[in-house]
Amino acid sequence: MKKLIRIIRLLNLPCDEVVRLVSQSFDDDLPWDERAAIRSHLVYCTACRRFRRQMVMLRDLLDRYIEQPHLADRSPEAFLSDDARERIKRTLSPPSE
Amino acid sequence: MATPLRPSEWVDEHGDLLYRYAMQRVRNSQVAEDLVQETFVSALAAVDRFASASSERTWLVGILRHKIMDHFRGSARRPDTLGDEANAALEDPTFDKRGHWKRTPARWSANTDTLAEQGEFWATFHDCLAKLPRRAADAFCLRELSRLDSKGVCEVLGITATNLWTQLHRARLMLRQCLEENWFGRGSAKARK
Repeated sequence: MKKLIRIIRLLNLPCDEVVRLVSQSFDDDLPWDERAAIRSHLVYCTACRRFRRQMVMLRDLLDRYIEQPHLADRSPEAFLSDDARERIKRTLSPPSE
Repeated sequence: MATPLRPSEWVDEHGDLLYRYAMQRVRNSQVAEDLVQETFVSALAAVDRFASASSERTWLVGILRHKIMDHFRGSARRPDTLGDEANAALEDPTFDKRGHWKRTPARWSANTDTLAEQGEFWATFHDCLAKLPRRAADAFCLRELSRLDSKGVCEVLGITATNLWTQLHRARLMLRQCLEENWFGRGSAKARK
């Protein structure tokens, strides 16, 4: 009975809670009934379906980004500043007498 | 292949790469510079423990990774940039009281191959990341940019799994909103209003 109530509640979750579960599913293994709740909600809810698709896309983009440091090359922030370079070199060089 | 170690040339040879690696993961140039410096200092002190099986660069990146984790480690003990109480008092910008979307997310139409190559997009992404409350941003960076698993992030930040999921979800909702407003919705934003 308790199980049934839980399932009925899960199948009627509002968008904000579904989206929270979608998010959690990226970081944790969800129990089957929560996975089913997400899946059935996404069948009829365009907004939450888009949210999920956007998050998958973002992860996909980030995958490429971190594997390819050259992607940041064009920004001025991609290079160690001359100041920092000099400072670090000074730290590394043996103390002169 | 193992390369002979030349600490005097490290900065010129690996400095930019290490800096970029750190920048992608900690989102702050000052912090990134410091991390690179600490990496070289630690490397110099450990030169004789260099395992010649790996390349010099791989070895240095490995040290940098540890420095990045150390940087985040103190994070949970420092105060958040937006107090949680202050935040809870604010009206939820995304959902109404019944838990429905206030505004339906837009369709993000983009080719991920092309988009990933656009420096402008990543600049927008980092601007959005910088607007997040610090804890949410730290959690997101460790999870999605340093690619630790949940357990790993919890250990570094010293928080519970439930707290981590809350922070990550908060980060995702805010990033989503910001990217939609400043990148994906730039064309359609005008049409909506």
